[in-house]
Amino acid sequence: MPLSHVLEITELRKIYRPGTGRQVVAVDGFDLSLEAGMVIGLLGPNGAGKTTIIKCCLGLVIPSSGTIRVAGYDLWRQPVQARLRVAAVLEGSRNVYWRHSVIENLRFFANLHGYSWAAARPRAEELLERLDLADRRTALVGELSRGMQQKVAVACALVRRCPLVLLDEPTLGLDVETARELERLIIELAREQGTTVVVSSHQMDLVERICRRVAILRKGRLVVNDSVTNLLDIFAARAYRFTLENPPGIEQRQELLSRFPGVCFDDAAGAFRLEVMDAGEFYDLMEFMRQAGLRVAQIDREVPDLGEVFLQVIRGEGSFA
Amino acid sequence: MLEEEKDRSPWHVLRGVIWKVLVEYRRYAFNLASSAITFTLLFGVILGGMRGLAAAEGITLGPSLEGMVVGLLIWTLAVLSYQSWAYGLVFEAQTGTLEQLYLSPWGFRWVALGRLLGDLTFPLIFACLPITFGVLFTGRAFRVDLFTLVPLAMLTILQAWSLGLALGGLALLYKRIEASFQIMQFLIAGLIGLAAVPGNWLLGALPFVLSTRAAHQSLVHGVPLWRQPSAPALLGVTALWLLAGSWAYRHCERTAMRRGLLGHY
Repeated sequence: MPLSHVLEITELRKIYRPGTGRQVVAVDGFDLSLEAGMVIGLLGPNGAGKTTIIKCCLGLVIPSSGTIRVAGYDLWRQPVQARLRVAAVLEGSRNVYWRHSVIENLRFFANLHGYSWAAARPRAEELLERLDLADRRTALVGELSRGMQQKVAVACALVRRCPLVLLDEPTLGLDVETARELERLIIELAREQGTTVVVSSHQMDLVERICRRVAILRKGRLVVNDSVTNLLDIFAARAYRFTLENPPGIEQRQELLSRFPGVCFDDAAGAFRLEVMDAGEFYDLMEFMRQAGLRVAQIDREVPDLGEVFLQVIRGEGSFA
Repeated sequence: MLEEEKDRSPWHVLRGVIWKVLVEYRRYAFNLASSAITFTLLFGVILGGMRGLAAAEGITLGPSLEGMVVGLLIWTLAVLSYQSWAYGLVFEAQTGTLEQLYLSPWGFRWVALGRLLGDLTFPLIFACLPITFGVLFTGRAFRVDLFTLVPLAMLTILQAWSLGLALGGLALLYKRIEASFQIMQFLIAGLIGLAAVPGNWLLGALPFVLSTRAAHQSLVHGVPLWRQPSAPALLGVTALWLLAGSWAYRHCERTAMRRGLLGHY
């Protein structure tokens, strides 16, 4: 079986029918292909369809139409082969057994994915060390802190050695240190073992730090599927901040506003911001300022973070309308 | 990755689930002991009370008391078997681990089988209590033929699983249905009572009726299962109910997966 893509979703559609003839379109024609070793962020506001997509990929929700292939295997026609290759930590649920110890959970979840304990044990020990859980191996999960419980859940997913790991809100409610520890682990997994990781999260800083690519959903539709760098570049290229030595007068302001509608003034800082639509507009502005005698002290290219980009995308601004 | 897959097998799923159930029993031995005390008291009160009442009224209760022992034996097997499965499923859904169990590559059926087999110990041990009390209170030795009683217990447990599967399926869809689990205990008692009604083959098609009759024949009259004329019918009825229960569970499971209800509680 060729391993061209670790995950290949084609025309995925999910319509829930909660009754009384109503229907809710949760996912509407979603396509996504992921290669080995990629860490991708699945973003979207609440109700955008992220969790439904993740659960469809795990075979927990039956899609209305479309196909999902994991490492080349059709999830519904070759379920065993496909499921052998995917693990997950789901959001909002406990994922692991609180009344069992850390090591018992690891053993059980390795068994659940068909490994004998003898075969899985070295991997389990390695994960305990990497996640700093080794000295708590015999502690009941229910007695651990929230962060440690989440680390156990992640370890139980990773002990299965799957090429595809889906993480729904993996660092929700974790302290900064634990969250960073998990981030490092995710990055190392992708880099060292070629694991493909899908991270669904509302934490944009996390996604920006660990994901190479993002897929942004709006009302069940994929509106952006691009690398984080490209996406930030697209938005960064548009916005400039000009700090002036001499502030523009009333007439100059009016003319600026009429010729460049994207201008907004920041009088306190003696600056204005311009979102340009193309490079020509930038040079037009420079020419205007030269003729008007406005002396530029500084030009900054505004670099938005992923959170700002996300907001603009889901609001349907610019080319993402 | 492919090299490793050769060593992966659903048998490890089965072993893992049974191991986990046994760990739970060991860890919660006090709970197990409390249940044993409750059942001991329950049987003691029922059988002792019956004997005391009969003595006070000057009635001979021999066959009735024996019938009661057999009825309690089947009831214990049935109730404990269906409850361990149905409550287990609700517990997994409540705690949020049910969806993880569904991620097993070979599907939930291996997990379910492991759970059912792991939970066998509990009803089998507790089913010994009515017989022990029966010996104590009736003053007669029951004919305990293990070659009859063990298969009979298994067939009864399989019938109970069919009810457990159906109820578990409903729990996936409607979540809070513990009240119907309670009602089922009385329904099972009623079904066992129907074993005393003679004739009518239709009654025999109901769960636990033929098991109760067969247990009575074996324990009281010493007839081994393989020499009882109703044995093939008992096998057939068990298979049919198990198929029906499995179908009901599968149907509810598919509906829950279509509606996205598997992880909700």
